[in-house]
Amino acid sequence: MSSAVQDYFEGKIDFVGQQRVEEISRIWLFFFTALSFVLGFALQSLKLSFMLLGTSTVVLCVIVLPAWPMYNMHPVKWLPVVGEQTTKSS
Amino acid sequence: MRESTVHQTRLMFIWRLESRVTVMSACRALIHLSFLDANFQVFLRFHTMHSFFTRVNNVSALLSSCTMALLAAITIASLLQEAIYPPQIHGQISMKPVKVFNAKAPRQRRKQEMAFLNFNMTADLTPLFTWNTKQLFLSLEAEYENAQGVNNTVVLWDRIVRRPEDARVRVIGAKNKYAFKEIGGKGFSKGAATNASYALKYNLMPYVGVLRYGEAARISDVPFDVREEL
Repeated sequence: MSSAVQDYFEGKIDFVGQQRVEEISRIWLFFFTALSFVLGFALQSLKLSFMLLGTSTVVLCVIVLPAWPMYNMHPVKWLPVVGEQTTKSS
Repeated sequence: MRESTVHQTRLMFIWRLESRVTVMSACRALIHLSFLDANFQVFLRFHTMHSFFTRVNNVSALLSSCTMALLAAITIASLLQEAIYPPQIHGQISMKPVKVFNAKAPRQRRKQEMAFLNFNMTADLTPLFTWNTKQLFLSLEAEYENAQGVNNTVVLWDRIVRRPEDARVRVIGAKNKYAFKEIGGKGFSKGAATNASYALKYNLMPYVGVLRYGEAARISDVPFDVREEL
């Protein structure tokens, strides 16, 4: 029971999920930084720039930080356990 | 003896096969990526297991880099804007001759010559307010050369402007905020310059970027009118 709770709070995702999360966060932040600069310059408002960047970061955290099930669609297939070794272990 | 060494070599070989994939073997394995499935391919590039805090760390690092890039872009945009469209500020100062009295100020030990201004000033500083302007610091400065040949610049009046609505400066009959004394020399009447120039200077403080200085208005050769003692 406690290990399940621990697993939940650790928030592990599988490797394909990790790659996707990294891609999403990079593309998202790059796009929204560029957009906030362009909009702020066009409308001449620094406040707008940073509000846009802030809200986009919050939305990104909701999309990326929790271990959603869609990031656990490709769990690692471990090999079956090999039989016991008869040699002495170091 | 020979049998045990062969046995040990076999042990080490088995241990290597069963150990986790290291970076070195990953480089060698990358050559054979075509027949591995998607999961194992990705495993070769990440060799630690992600947790919630790893993702928090990564996202915050990316966010820091993006924020710094945004600030650098704003700075460069402001520099380019100033270079391509330099703001043309025109202002007017008019001043009556500056009266100099020899009197003792409160909390001072001895008498000193003090000059008193009475000036009108208008300037329109709205072109200076861009998206990157935090505030303007305006100062009226007197420039003169005293008997020792030293150039003095004294700030006599200042104002902080935070909004473009307040950027139209219009003062009528204003007096100097700060005492105007000739401290280094012998006072105004004994060999300091007979006249001085007065300039309205501004200091633009941006949110991000370099401070900018400029001059909005200037009046030259205003005489000092030294009066008798009070």
